[in-house]
Amino acid sequence: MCDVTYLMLLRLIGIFVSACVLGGCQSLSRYEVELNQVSDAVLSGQLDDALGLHERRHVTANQLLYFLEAGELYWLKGDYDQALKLWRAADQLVQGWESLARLNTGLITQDVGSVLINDKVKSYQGYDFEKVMLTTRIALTHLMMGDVASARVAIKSTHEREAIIEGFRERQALLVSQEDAQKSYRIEDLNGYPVETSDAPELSGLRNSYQNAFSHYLAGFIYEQLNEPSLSAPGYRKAIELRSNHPVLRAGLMGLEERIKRPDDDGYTDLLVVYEEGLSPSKISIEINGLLVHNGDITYVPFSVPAYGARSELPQPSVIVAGDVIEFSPDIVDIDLMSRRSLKDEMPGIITRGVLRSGLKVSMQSAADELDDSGVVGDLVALAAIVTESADDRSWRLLPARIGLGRVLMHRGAHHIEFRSGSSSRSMDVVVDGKYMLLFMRRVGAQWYVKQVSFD
Amino acid sequence: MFQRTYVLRVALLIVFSMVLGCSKSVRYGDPKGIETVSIEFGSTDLHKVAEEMTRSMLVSQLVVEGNRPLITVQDVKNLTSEYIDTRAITDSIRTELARSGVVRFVVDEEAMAQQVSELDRQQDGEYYDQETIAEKGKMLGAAYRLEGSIRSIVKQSSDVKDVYYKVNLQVWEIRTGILEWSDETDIRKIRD
Repeated sequence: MCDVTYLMLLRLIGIFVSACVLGGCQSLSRYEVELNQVSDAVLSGQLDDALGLHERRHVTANQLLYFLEAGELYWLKGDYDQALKLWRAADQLVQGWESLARLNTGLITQDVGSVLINDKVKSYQGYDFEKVMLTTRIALTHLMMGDVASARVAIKSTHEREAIIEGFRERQALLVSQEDAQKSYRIEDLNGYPVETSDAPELSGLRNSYQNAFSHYLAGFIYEQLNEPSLSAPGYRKAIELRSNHPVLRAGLMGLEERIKRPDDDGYTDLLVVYEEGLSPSKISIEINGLLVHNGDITYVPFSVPAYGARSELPQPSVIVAGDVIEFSPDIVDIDLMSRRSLKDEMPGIITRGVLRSGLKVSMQSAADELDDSGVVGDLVALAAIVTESADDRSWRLLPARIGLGRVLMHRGAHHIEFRSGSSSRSMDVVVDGKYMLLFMRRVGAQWYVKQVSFD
Repeated sequence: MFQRTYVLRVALLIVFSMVLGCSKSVRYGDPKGIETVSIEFGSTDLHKVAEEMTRSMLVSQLVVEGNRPLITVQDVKNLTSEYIDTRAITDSIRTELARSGVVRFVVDEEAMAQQVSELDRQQDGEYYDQETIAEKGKMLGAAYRLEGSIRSIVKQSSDVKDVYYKVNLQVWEIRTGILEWSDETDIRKIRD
């Protein structure tokens, strides 16, 4: 090996060691473990404790994830101002990604640290569906505050964001298909990977990993309130396109003209029930031996990849209003499924980086062995390589696992409403009022979080 | 050789990361210039529809008779899956027609609440000169209503997207229900 290559490898070892030190806790820690205490507190209804625990992570946590999770906690707590403040901060970071996405193709997914250490060194940019859910969450928060005009601004930025993501992914797909000719990695190439967890039949039913029917239905609901049927109709229509077999979604579009013409003072309220359940799925890190073929040389390189566990079945919920079970679709959005689809879509990039990273670590170890006869440096590099090899398990974990919708026209006044999900139920007396009303319900474990708002 | 390739790849990634730091400047563009940023319904399509429809209506029998008919504007129904604000289309047509002076417009359904609110404010307030306040019951009823629809057909293959829009507008005489004028324009956009 020539001196120049030695020198560069030596420098790389230096960079690697520095990056290990700088990447520090974040590159080595498991996000699921970090967030465990927070999610446990949410499951037991201790939101203040959850916020306190999450606040302690502020210094070490990735900024985007910190804002996303903290916003969710404040939202559940009913502190909408604080939730908005945090989610707007998250939105600023996503807008930074959007600026790059408008210009680039696959480049923004690359990060030097991810090739040297692991994917967790990569700045967390959020999954595409999380970016879309973020502006949807902001719109929903404005609605809960009774500010429909601001909700319109937020939901409009959701459409714009979807368009940016679509363009970016299309350009990226084109790039990947060109690379296909050379050779790209697929999840099926990995021996020992739980392929079945990322290959559920429902995955192919999703049009893509980022669009969700709830965001579009909510857009329809917001534009409808503002008497903008030309914008409301495509919202309901897109929701149907994304989840075709749901009567609630079809009724949204079919009844639009009639609802728009309905007088304000007819004594009825158009009640939209949003029901969310569970937490988005967590990932685990598994070690894979990947086959690296380079210039005829075959090498087995160990690296870590993220995976999901088996899908857990959630109970079929129902909503009973004044003694009658209303038309209700529990899985308008299946975030569990969208998470799996996102991971599957990203897998070729993850594997490529993993193989590249492992090859580089093997090279650095060989160079260190050759430079230092005692083998101490080589052992240290090997140890660091093993310790730092861990898959990126980060995601917006406090999002619900699924979102359901129901809609019913009700007489104004007090009504008894009951939610049932498996053995758990929650009933309450609700004063139904206004031309439109939004009733939000979130079940996490045994806890039920309820919010409501009326619109004139 | 094996190590050298990795070193080069890492060096390339560092260069790419630095390139990403560059930013773009802001500039003004011609509002009526052709916009091809995306395949979705955009400003160029809006101008095309508004201009063609206005031109067609200006030479129609309805206008040529010269009695400045009273028209009310209703919604152009968006029957596509795209978020198209069709009020931007009707607003542009109304502005062009009003500017020509050959037709007059009365308050439409959308603006009625504000009109009634203003009438009530003048009637109920003690701050107005009674000789200048607008009386109730003097609003003129429209003789015609303008309405329409926009539809689209979208075809997509792995590398080509083809979108066809059809915009149809009609003017109906309210008293008789006669269709006095109708025209349509279409737009086809292809991205490959």
